[in-house]
Amino acid sequence: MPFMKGPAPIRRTIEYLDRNKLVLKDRVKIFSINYNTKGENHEGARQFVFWHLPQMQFKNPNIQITTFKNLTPSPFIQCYLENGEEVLMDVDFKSKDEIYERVRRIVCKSEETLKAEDKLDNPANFGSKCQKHCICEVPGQLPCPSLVPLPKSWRGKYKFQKPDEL
Amino acid sequence: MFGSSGSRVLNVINISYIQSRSKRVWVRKPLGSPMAKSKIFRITPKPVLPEDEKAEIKRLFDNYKNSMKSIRHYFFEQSLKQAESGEVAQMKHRLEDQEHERLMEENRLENEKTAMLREERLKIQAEKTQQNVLASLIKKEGEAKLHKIQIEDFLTKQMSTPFIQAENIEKAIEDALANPVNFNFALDLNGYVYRGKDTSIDTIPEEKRERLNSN
Repeated sequence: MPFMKGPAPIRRTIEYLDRNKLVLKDRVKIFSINYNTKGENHEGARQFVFWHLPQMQFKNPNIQITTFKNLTPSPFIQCYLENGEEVLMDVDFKSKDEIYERVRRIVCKSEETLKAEDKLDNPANFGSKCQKHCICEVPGQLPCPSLVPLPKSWRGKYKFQKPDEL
Repeated sequence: MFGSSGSRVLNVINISYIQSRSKRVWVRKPLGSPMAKSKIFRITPKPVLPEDEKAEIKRLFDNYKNSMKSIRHYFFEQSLKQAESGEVAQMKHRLEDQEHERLMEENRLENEKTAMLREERLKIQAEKTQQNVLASLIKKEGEAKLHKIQIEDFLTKQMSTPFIQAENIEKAIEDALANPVNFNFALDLNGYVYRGKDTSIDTIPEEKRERLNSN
């Protein structure tokens, strides 16, 4: 099987894209990063964009992520929040890992929140991406009403039906 | 004809878990089976509605859908509002805001640190560039001096050659007229020069012949 095209094509694999912790908070709507293509103090920002920006967009498909190149002498990241607030992060001469840590600490959801929101792990969640589709699948709970109808006194349409007013 | 007719559970859609032990339940025709002979040339009459009836139905349908959608949306918003106003939700909001403030503060401090580092770096760079510029200026000055000296040398050399000034011009013309320069000459294989256009070789005795100097 031939090699994947392009530099560092591992960035395009699902496993790589999935395995990162950069889930931005709900209040962040736009994430923009300004950097230059040449210049030693932009090296960290360039590396961050190269390695981590695809991961970020993968985890936040509804947030606008933009890059601006060769506009300012020093690199910075700006996040625009819901209430109009802007978070400015100066990343002049910082390394890629430092930028990653800082972004994670300041504008991303923490580990605990992610765990609580994780549908798959928590058996208390039901639905399409969870362990069980419905609570009726759990042994000891009511069977599915599509198979075994509920008693009429438990059904809303009979409880609230006022035949004299119909 | 339709295979697997012995089993009781056969292409069922809504199967009831309450078994019937008496009859074989026909739920639907097996998917791969062909159309019945009595039905293959059947053309179902297409239901024709007049245009104005269609328009009326569409109008009613659209009104109904719009109303239901708006009602549903309104209820959704109400439920969101209720969720927001609950005790737990408010506390969560307060905690989140506090957390946000703390993080903003942290970010600001980081920014200030980076700014200070940047200032120092820029200062050092400014010093360096200043020194570089000074050094290059000094070099340029030295070079300019050298150049000047060279030019002066050249000028003096040129001045020392005999130029014909305005005073000497008549004398120079008389000299030139009196001494015409004949550029004609011939060379011998032995290296002797014979000047003048019309000199014949025999008239010059052997000793008086010029030797061509290589200078």
